[in-house]
Amino acid sequence: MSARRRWLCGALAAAFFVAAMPVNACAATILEVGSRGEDVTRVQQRLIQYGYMSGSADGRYGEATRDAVEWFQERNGLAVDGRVGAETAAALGVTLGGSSAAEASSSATIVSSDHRLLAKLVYAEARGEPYKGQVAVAAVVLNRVESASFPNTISGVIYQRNAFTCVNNGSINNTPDNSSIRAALDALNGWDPTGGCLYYYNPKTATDDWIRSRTVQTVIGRHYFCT
Amino acid sequence: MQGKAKFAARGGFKALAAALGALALAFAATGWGLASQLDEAQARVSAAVQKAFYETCELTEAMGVNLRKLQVASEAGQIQRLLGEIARESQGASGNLAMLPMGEEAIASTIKFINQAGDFAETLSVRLASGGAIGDADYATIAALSERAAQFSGEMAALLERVERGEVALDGSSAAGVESLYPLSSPAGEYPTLLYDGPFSDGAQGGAFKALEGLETVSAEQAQANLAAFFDGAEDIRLVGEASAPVETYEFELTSHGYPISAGVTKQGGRVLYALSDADVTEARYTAEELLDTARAFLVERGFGPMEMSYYSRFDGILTVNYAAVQDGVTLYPDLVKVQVSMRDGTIVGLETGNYLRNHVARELPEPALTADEAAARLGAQLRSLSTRLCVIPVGSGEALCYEIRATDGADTFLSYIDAQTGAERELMQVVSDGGGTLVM
Repeated sequence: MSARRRWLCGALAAAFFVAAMPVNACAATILEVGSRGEDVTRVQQRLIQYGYMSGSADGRYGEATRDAVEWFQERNGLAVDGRVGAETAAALGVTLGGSSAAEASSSATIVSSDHRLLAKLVYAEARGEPYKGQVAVAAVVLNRVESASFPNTISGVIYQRNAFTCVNNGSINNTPDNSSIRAALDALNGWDPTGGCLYYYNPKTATDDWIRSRTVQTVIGRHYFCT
Repeated sequence: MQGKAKFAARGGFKALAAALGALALAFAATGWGLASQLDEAQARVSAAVQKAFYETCELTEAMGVNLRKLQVASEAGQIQRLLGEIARESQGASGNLAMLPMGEEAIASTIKFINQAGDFAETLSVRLASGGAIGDADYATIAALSERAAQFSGEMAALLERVERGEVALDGSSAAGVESLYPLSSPAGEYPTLLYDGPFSDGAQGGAFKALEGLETVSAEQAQANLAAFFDGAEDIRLVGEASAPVETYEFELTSHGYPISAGVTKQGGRVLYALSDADVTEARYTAEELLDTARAFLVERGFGPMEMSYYSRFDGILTVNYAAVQDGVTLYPDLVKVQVSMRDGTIVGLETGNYLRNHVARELPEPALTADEAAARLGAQLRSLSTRLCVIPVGSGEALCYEIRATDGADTFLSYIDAQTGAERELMQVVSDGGGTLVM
């Protein structure tokens, strides 16, 4: 992906990226013309409640329901296909395949391979830091991706030689926790409490004189952040 | 009896000896196994580094040759092909360079040069594709890049010879090895400064905060008061530090309706730059639909002006809603604000205004040269328009007024951005749904 495209994605489509958030695990369920059952009824109830459809919820997905779904999708910036998948269901506040509408999933969702790798890095490098410090570490990786002086992909930056201790000692392979996953996602969505920093270090443990010679822009938790 | 006992004792001794022997063998085998595993691991690492080294040599050499050809090529298709190859070679070389055991600063300046060469080629390619031309200044840049690329690939080739003669080890295991691997006499300041219309250009780094220009610098007390007004029910606001990049900020911590929040407030203008909550929210009493109005009202009440929701998403019980500013009915995608709402109780727990504060000024929007129908007619033959609206999108270091056309080929949904003045397609994105979610690629 080119730098140009990334910039656009950052500004324009970061939103798309997260529109990606799957909201529940039963993502495979898709309702379309011909579907029947309780899920259809709940979708219809929402469509009626929000004024996209008139009549009653009969649990049968016919053309009237499809038209209402298309209108709802159009109005809410969703892919307009007249079918109710995970994304449209989430936008409607309906959980497909069972439980009640406004129930949050308890496990964190990883939206892409980039998100997963970034979350693993955050967990290995910033576990135990304040949440802001976890987002900050993820943001440094993304700032490097955007910088001409570093590789152009998240994996390229993370696996750059000697760039991160956790890659050298293998701790990057641990399973990230919920907080790391959320922090990586917030950074992908544009949050950057470092304001564009490219480096960070722990002044208690850093041995590299070169890194210590850089101007510290902000201090978050135990980490000093530099440009 | 005695004999039997003796036998038993001897038998016991034998068994013990055998057991000890087996143990010793096992130890030896394990030790040998470990050693050979270590050797194998080292060989694997070394092979990966060697591959990166050879690929860097190949790709930079090819890039140098293609830059040289670009100086003399005249046929449009040939020029596009060369630009494409240079961009591809740059991408590959910079990834490989990052794997090499060289000093941090040296590698950073080399990667920057390689990245800029590729970015420059892409910029020219896009310009040519939208009807532009390569000018004299561009040819001067191409000449400088070509010369430097040839020099660099020569240095890499010389280093390769030293490696082949065994003078330097590629694994970079010794400190001397790391230093001697760096092929250039002086790492910094050896590369030409490149100014062009692309994101990696030397002129493109660090944007000013246009929305803050001309605003007064506020005190920490004033910033704190702004923050208190911003978050209703904010309690226990504490100044915890200051930060200097990308703008000077005061850093605060506070509690709002029980949510611990960190926030940065700009010194110039006293505007909230970001807010993040430490709290995980795993409960949702409200639906997304119910909270969208809350988020929009929050922004309107705080003077952000007309905003349009572009997309929203949910992570456990936190809803992240993206708003773009709107001017005269035109969506300004560079001016994005992101708001996070707790789905447990509707409290605003997060905010990101960096893009908005960087870009939000009144635009002088030109009259579109094309009508919406004319723009839709520019879509690829496979695509059918679903909806059209005007928007401003970021392109290179500037912006362009475009028609955003949501379109489908029957199977998938795409977003096409047709330049409202030239009719050129500035961007094409695919909206990808894969069961669980949607991405734009």
